[in-house]
Amino acid sequence: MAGRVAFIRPADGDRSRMCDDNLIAACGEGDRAALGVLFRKYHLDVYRFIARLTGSGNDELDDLVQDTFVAIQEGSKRFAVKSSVKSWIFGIAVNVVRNTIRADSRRKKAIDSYGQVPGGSIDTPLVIAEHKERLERMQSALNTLTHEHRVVFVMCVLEDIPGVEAARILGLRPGTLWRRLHEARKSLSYEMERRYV
Amino acid sequence: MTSRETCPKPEELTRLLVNGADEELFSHIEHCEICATEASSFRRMKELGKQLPDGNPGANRADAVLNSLLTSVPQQKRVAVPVRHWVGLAVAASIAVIVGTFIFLDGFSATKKEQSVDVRITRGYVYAQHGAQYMLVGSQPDEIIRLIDGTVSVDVDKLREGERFRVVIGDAEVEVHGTTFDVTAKDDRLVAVRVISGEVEVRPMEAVTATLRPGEIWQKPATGSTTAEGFEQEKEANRIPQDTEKVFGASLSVDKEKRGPVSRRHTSANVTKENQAAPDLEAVKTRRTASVAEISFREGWKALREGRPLIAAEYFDQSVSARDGDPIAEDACFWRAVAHGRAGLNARTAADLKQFLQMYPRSSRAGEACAMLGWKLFERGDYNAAKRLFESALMDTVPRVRASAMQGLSDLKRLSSAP
Repeated sequence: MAGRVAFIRPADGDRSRMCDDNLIAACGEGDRAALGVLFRKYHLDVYRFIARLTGSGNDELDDLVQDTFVAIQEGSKRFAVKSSVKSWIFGIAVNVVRNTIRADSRRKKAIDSYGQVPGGSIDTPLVIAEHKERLERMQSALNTLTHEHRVVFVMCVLEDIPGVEAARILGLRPGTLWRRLHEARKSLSYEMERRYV
Repeated sequence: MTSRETCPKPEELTRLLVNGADEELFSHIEHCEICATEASSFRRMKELGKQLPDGNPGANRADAVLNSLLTSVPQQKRVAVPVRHWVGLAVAASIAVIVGTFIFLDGFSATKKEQSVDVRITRGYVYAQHGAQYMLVGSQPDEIIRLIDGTVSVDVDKLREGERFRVVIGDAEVEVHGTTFDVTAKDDRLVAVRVISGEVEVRPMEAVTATLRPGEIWQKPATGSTTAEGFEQEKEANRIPQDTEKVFGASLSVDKEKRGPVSRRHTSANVTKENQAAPDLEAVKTRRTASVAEISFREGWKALREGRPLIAAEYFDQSVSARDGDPIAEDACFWRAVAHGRAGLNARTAADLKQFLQMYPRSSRAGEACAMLGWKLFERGDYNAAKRLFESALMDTVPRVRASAMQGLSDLKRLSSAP
């Protein structure tokens, strides 16, 4: 059932035992403990999502994550139970990142700084080097995508958010989402091949 | 089969690859050269994408962001009020703060007793006053209560070796070693701490660290009095006589069975009246001084929080070297490894973890260290040693350590079964 959730405040004040919907409702009333619990619960997801979306370094990432949670508190009054809380948070993160890109061309800096991707592989030094190179290629290919293409790719492919839900969060028709995703995939393939040659 | 006539449209294929294809299409993709190439390329891309840096900030950076977040958002939604009303509101707010502090110092009244509620923590209880905002964030062996607003009374049993219990506020932390105490915060800032039994260490960011003993009260220093002398003066002014501990002790020993907050708080209200009569200055003089290991440890933490892992590692190193039997050296030894890891010095991290496990094999952090070292050795390709360490970490009491160890063993299994 869609609609706003009534905030059921726990008797003992311990927000860590509240469900997500109640936490968001509490945030809407200015309850910082509830926001803190949401942060602890979802910050790793948000860090990962924004890192893949922007390729930002630590400081920028911290700023974007904090801005996202500030926006979560501001937007919590408008939360409606149509999608999962995680998807809703990702939707807010997308807007925060988009606004930030517009504001200070952060993404350009991120593109310029690619190539600092640490390798996550195991094996011999040669295999590690090759794997690291592939990751760098992937990161730089991802950086060439437009924000719109990158958002759908990160959301649907890397974060496994169902297409219908992602389309709703992003305010797109499902057909538009799949078209963008296809274009993103093609661009990535092209960039990966081009950089390999 | 390579015909495009039966192939799905490109957007459709993308949708099927993301959502998962049904059996018929799956069979087609497997046998169609064009679609199989597309599917294989998609899977490679997805796999690579998932290995991109996940931006994991680590516990300390995340805590720093959380603190910054909590101080940057308003506590309540602002309601537009005409400017002339602000003066009255400011006066009312000041009175409320003063009255609140007095209520805290006087103990809990009968009406508040009815409002307070128990929360069980691993080694004790938290009694939150109505309206207190807090969350339980850490887990054993490092339990943390993140207090944002209001007063909580905490009753912690004697901790075992390696266990920690802290109450963290935006600008301070209060660490205990088996004690009963009250903490009050206002707007994510520490206002006061009162120790009923045991020993509590108060570490405000902008004032000197203080160790409180039974009957002592810490109050937020007035602006400008953040020196040790200023603190001592304030502390003396707020002293509670040492003999009050006996009263608390008797009361608590009776309450220990049921752990009811009502009678304990009733006692505390009685005792506070005695406080104001006879300050005991002797306890102030016997305040414990911080050891070298402790000072270095604190500096190490500060550096780690500020994102200077190499400097932090040096401080932790000093703390380990100056141990002289100081139990904090055990923590320093562990955090030195974490600091080196954060600085990207993998070999050094592994060496630190090995040393930690050799020096403190029975530490409550041994499981965590085993898992961490397991992953370092896994990355180096020393799979047998990694396996042994993951297996040791499986016995840990902390769920996330066990989960990490299980993940390590699962990855090792997957590697060994790969062609």
